[in-house]
Amino acid sequence: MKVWLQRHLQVLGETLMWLVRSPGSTLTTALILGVAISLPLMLFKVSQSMMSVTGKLNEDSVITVYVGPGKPEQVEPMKEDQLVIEIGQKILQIPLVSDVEYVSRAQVLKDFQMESELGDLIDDLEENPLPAMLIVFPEKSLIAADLSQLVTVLADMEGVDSVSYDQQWQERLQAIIAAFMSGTLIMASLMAIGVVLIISNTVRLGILNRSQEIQIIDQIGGTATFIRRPFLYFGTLQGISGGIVALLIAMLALFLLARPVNHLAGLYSSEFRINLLDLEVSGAVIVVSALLGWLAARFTLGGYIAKMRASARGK
Amino acid sequence: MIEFKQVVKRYPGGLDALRHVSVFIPRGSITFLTGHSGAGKSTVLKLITLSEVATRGQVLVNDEDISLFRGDRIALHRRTIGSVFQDHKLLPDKTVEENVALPLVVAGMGNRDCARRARAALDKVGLLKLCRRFPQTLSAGEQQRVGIARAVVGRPDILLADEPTGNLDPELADEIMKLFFLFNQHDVTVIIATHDYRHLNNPAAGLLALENGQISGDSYS
Repeated sequence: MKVWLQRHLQVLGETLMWLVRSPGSTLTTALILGVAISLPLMLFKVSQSMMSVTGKLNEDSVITVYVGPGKPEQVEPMKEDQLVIEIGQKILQIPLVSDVEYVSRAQVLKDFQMESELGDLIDDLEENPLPAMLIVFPEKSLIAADLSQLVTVLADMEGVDSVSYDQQWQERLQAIIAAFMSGTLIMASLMAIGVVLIISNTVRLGILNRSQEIQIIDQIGGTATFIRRPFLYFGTLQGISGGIVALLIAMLALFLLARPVNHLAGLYSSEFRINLLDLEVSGAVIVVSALLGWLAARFTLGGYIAKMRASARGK
Repeated sequence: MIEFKQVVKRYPGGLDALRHVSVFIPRGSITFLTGHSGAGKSTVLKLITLSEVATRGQVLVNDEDISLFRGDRIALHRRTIGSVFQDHKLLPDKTVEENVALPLVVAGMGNRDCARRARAALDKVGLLKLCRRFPQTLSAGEQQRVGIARAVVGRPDILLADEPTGNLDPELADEIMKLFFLFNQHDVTVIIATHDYRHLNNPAAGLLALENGQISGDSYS
């Protein structure tokens, strides 16, 4: 175990020296990788911010239920309120519902008077024409599809005249975000392939530079694992350096974008905010970049060693 | 022991480097493998190290058909063989000591043991004082001796040398040959492919002569 660790540390040190000895190509590769990784990273952060807004919208969603046709024609106001309360209790038993608030006819009229500035005109009415209503608070974890289903259930209930819920624009927003996320995912996948190809190319150059060493090590009994090891470290370190550069680029870009975009969102009374990179995402970027570098080196070396050994067999 | 049974080696393009070669090399022997350029000497050595694989026939080392070896088994087989090359094949960015220690590093030995044994091997070839130097600062004879030290540092069962004295003047060549005989005294099977006819008359050594890929002389048969 001690020798194994000693050997790995030695190879890691030698690989770092290998990178340091050619600062120009190391930095150029890191920059290319950084630019390639930063683009999907920034798109991901923007879509994450958009998702937090829709999440908040879902949390704030309320459904207004108006009671109407099911009630008797000339029912006393007290009885009518009782009827609405009973419907409210039925709604409360629906599992998707968190709470129901009853708003009496008198309260509805009062609110309308205040909001519409038609106070005098309403005072002249002989009786209150407005119905009582129920404000339904759905469970916070509901997604748009669940809310849509809940609205349908409420509209089909006996005694309910109409249900008011502005869901269309929310569904549209969620569809836009879903499309944006898909686009980000496709771009991230393409960039990942690009990263693998770039690192694979630098590893291939490294193999060419060290082909004599590889052949000697192979001749004196080096296993494929031993031959691969420095190149795996090389690919992984290249990936990590690309990831670090990507984080720096993304942090700078998001920092520059955050203020004007957040200000713009504020002008539209939107909760949309561009968030800066957190530790979780930053860590994930480094891990994924390192993994891509490792994979690139693994496949490139695998192909080279297989070819080298096949040529010995006259294939 | 090493045995070739009806071995044919055909390279891509249809060139037959070896044609139905059957030889038996006893354990602990020292053997000169001779013949003109292109006779198949290097191919014999490459078949033993599995740098090449026989097209037909069998190559047996200690009664095992080595052509059946795959993957890491090939690497393990090579660790039992020390190889000396005409062009030394030393790594220029490693010191003499690091070059010599390489087979031990590859075999997974710890740094301290690697250094101790590399120095012992360099001492045997008379180059301990040059252990911190880089190969390109050494003469051709010194480089060859470093190559020999690297070949024997892992205490191999078999030592193969492909034209080890090809680029050396006669005095240096004699010195190198003495080293091979020295290692043979430690029960190492030594096979030397050479053009140098001055050494072939040594009665302590066996002789295998190759001509156009076939055995034309065999002192063991």
